[in-house]
Amino acid sequence: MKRSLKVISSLCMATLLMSALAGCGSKSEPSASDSNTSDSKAPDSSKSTAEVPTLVWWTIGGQVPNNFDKAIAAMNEYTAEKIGVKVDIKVASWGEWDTKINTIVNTGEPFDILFTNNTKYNQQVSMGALADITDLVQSETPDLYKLIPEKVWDGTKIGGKIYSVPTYKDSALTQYWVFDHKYVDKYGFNVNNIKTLKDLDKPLHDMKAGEGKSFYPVPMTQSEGLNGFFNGYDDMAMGFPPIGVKADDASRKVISVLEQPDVMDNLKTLHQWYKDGIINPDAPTKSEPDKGRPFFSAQGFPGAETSWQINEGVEKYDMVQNYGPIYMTSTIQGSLNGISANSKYKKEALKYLELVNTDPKLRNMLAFGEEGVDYKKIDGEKVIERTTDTWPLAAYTQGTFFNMATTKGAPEDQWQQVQKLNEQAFASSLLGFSMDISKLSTEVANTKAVWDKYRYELLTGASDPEKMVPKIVSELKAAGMDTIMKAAQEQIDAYFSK
Amino acid sequence: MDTKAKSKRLRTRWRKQDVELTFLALPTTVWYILFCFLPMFGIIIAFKDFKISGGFLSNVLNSPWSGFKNFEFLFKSNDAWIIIRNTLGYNIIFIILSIVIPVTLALMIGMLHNRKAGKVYQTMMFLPYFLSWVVVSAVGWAFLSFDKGIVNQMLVNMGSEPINWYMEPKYWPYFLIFMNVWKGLGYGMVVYLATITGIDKTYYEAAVIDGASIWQQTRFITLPLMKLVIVMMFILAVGRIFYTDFGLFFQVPRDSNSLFNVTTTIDVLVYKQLKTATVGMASAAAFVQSVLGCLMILTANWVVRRIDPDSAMI
Repeated sequence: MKRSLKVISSLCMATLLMSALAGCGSKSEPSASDSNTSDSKAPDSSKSTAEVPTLVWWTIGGQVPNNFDKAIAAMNEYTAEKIGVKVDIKVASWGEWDTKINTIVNTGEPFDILFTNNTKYNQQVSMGALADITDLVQSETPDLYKLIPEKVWDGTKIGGKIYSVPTYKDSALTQYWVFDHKYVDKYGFNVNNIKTLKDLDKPLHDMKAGEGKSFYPVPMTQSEGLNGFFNGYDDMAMGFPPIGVKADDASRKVISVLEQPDVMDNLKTLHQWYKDGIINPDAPTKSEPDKGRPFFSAQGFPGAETSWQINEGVEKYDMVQNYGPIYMTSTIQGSLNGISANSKYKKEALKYLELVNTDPKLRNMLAFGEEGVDYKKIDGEKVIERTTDTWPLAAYTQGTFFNMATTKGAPEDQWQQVQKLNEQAFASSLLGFSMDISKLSTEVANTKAVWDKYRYELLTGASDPEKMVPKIVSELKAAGMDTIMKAAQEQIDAYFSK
Repeated sequence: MDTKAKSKRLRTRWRKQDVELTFLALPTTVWYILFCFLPMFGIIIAFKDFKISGGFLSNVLNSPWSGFKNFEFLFKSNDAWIIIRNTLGYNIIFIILSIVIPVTLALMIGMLHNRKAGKVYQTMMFLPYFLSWVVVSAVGWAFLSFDKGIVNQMLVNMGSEPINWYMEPKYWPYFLIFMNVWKGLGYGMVVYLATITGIDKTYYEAAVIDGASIWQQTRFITLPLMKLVIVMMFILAVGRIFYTDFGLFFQVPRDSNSLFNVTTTIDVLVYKQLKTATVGMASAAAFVQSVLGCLMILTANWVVRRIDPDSAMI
C-alpha cells in the first residue's frame, strides 16, 4: 500500500507542480512551430512565380455571417487581377479582441496585417511585433504616402519611426450626444442647446420621469461608461486616462486628471444620474450593450447617424456636436493597420493597403460586404444602400473614408464635411508625442491594475467620486504614478525642445 | 527505510498483464507529457523580457534575460497581500468543508438500506458538477440582478428595498463558499463512498454481535478505515492551496469592481495581467504560485508524517 502510494504520490506531485505551467503563457498547439510559414498558401518556389500570395489580416468585427467567405472571394478575385494579392481576413469579435490579439501577437501566430489602436500599438511596437515601414511606405507605395497628411503620419510615429498605416478618416475627434428622435419629440427639448453634461440634466430627468421606473435613458456597459469622458485631456497615447495633459495647455504640464475640478464635477453629475436611475443600475457589471439606446455619447461625423440607426434598430437619431474637432496622437491612433515584423510579404501588404485606400470598388466591398446581398449600388461607387445589418467588418478599421461610398440617407457631401472637420481641427499641444513606457513596465502594470479595480464603477457613476477619487489617487501614487508622471514630463520636455 | 529489502523481492520480468496495464495508462501519460511536461520550458518566460522575433519558440528563446524584473510587480503591488489572503483563506475553508461535508454525507448514504435511493441521492448531488461556471454565473445573475433578479423582486414584494448584490462585498464570501460546496459535493463524495463500499462487511457483523451501536460502528470501524483516504485527499488539496477555481472567482462575480477585495485570487490576477500587462509578468505570477504550492505539499506531508507515519504519502 505504502509503496504504491509513493509512486502515485510522486506522480501527483510532479503533475501538480506542472499543471500551473500548463496554463501559463500560451496554450499554443505543438503545431505552432517556430517556422514562419503562415497558413497563407505560400507560393512554392518550384511553381511559377505567377502564384498569388494570400495575406492574413487580423481585424475586429461582429459575428461572421454565412456569406462572408463569398464576399471575400469576390474581393480576392478583384485584387488578384489588379495587384496579384489575396487576403484571408480573420475577425476577432468586439468583446474578445482585447485578449485575442494579445495572444496572437505573443504566441507568434503568423499574420501579415494587423488592425490595432492606441490601446495596444505602443506595447506591440516595443515588443517588436510590428515592422518599421518608414522607408518602405515611401519607396513602395508613394500614392498611399501622399494620400495621408503629414500630421496623421506623425501621429503614428514612435521614436520617429512609422510602424503602421493610419486610417485617414475622422482622424480628428468630434464628440456627439446622440438622442433617439422619438424622445426629443415627446419631451420637446432642443438638442442644439445641449453642450455640457449639466445641460443634459433636465432632458434626461424628464425622460426618466415620463417613461417610468424600468426605463434607463443612459444605458451603459462596464467597459465604456460615457464614451469620450476624458476627451479634454491628452493621455500621451498610453491608454491610461488618470495621467494626462490638458489638450490646450501650451506649457504641456503633466497632471493627475482625476483631480481636475471639471472632471470631478462631471463625475459627480454621473453619480447623481446613477442614483436617480438615469443610468442602468447593472452598468458596472454589464458587458454587452443592448440595442436601441435612447441616448448615447459617441465619436462621430456628419451622417454617422445613418449607420447607427441601422445597427441600433432606431428609426431616427438626432445628434449634436459637443466637443472637438481635435487632433491628438491617440485620436489618430484610433485605427491603425500594422504589418507583422515576420511577414514575408511586407511589400504586398503595403500594396494591398494602398489599394484599399485608393480604389473605391475594393473600399466599398470591404466596408459593406457582398454586392447585391449586403448592399446595392445607387450611384456607381459613390452612393450605396445597405440591405442587411450582418456585415461584420467596421469601415473605420480598414482605410480612408474619402474614397468610400456614402450610405443612402446620409448627406452626399458627407466625406467632404469630415475632411473639413479634419482641416478645422484644433491640434493638441502634444500632437505627435507618444510616451515610451519600456523602462516603466512595473509601474505601468501596477497603476493599470489599480485603475482597472475602480474604473467601471467610477465611470458608470456607481461610486461616489468625493469618496473614491482621493482613494484611487492615493493608491495610484503608491503604485508608482508619480514616477510615471515625472518620466512623462521629462520625455515631453525632451521631445518638444528639439 | 526497508525499501532495499523490498526492491530485492520485486519482479523484474515483464508479463502479459504489464502490457495491458501500460496500454491502460498510455492516454493519461500522453496527456500529461503534452500538457504538463512540454509546457514546462515556459518557465523561462518568467525570467525574460518577452519580445517578438518569429514564431513562439524563437520568441521565447531569443528574448533577452531580465532576471527577476517580472516578479517586481507582484511584490510591489499593494493588493498582493489581499490577493494572497483571498487565495489562502478561501482555500482553507474549502478544504475543511470539502472534507467534512462529503464525508458526512457519504457516511449517511453508505448506511442507507435502500441502495436505489442512495444512488438517486448521489446522482442528484453530482449534477451541479457538470454545469460550467459560465452557466452558473448566468443563473446567479438571474437570481441577483438588480432590476430583473428574482431575489430583488421578492424583496420588493415584501416591501423592503432591493439590494445591488453585485456591489455589496459583504455577502460574497458566503455566496462563493456556498457555490463551491454545492458544485463540488457530488464529485468529492465519490471517493469516500467507494472506500466505504470497499470495507469488509464482516467487521460490522462482528461489531453488531458485540452490541455496537451505529455511531460506534462508524467511529471505530468506518472512520479509521477511511482515514488513509481522507488524509491523502487532504494532502492533495493542501498542495493546491495556491490555485483557485478560476471560473468560480472570475465568472460568478462578473468582474465587478466593488467585489475586487473579496473575489480576486492569484489565478484571476494572472488572467488580468495577461490581458493588460506582459506575458512575462503573468508567467512570473504563475511560477510563484507553483513554487509555493510545492512547498505547501511538502510541508503538509511532513506534518502528517510526524503525527502518523503510515498515512503520509512520501
